[in-house]
Amino acid sequence: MTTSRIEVRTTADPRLLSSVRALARAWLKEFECPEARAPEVILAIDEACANSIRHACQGDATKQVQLDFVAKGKTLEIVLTDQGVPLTTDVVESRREFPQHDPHNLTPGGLGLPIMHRVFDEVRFERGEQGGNRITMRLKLGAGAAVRRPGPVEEK
Amino acid sequence: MALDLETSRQDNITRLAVEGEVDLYTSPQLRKAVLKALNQKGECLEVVLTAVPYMDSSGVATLVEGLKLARSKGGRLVLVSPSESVMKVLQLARLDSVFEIRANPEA
Repeated sequence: MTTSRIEVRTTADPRLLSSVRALARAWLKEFECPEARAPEVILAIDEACANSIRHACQGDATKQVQLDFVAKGKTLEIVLTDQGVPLTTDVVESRREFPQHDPHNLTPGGLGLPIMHRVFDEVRFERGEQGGNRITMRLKLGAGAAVRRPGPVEEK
Repeated sequence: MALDLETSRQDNITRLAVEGEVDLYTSPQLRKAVLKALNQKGECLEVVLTAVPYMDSSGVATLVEGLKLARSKGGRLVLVSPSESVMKVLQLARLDSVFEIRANPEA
């Protein structure tokens, strides 16, 4: 099976997010991600990068974020590694699903990780080899792939 | 790229027209404009989102913050004519039913 890979290294600068989205858009099109699904995948990649810039790298633009876009057959994988503060297990586990929105007591934020979980077939959080975070996001295309739509999260 | 924000006022309603992509880089601009527009008690703010081809969760959080602030001051925040992309992210985050959303900017 042929593996195609693009590696992108950026500084943790939010101005670069639009360029990351443009690259992700072109890559998803090249590897035949369905048009109906591509916008939410681009959103989820953007959320991963934004989380890394804001929370892990804490706005320190001297730190770096690397994205590896890997296509293996019908599986698309995006691996983000950063030089920031590792996410704690508590944060990862508590943000698998969207917060319950109480109309009388709304809480802004806390949406990035649930979006990633909702959009990708698999999301894995690990410590990077040299510190920081390593986040692997996997998308399965083709027959048998899950078709995700807004709605209740399925129990796994 | 920076957002293009235009504020106008008519019949005690402030209208904020947003143009451009709302992400981690640009959402502080939107936040500043929303909070400024909701400075007074009982304000009604209409945020026109027709020309927003992309919005991330920081943009959504800004709108939620604005909604909370408006309600706390006895006012309203209405999303007007959101683009398909904005509607999708609101639906994905299950916030589409939390906001007052109007389709037609002139209605």
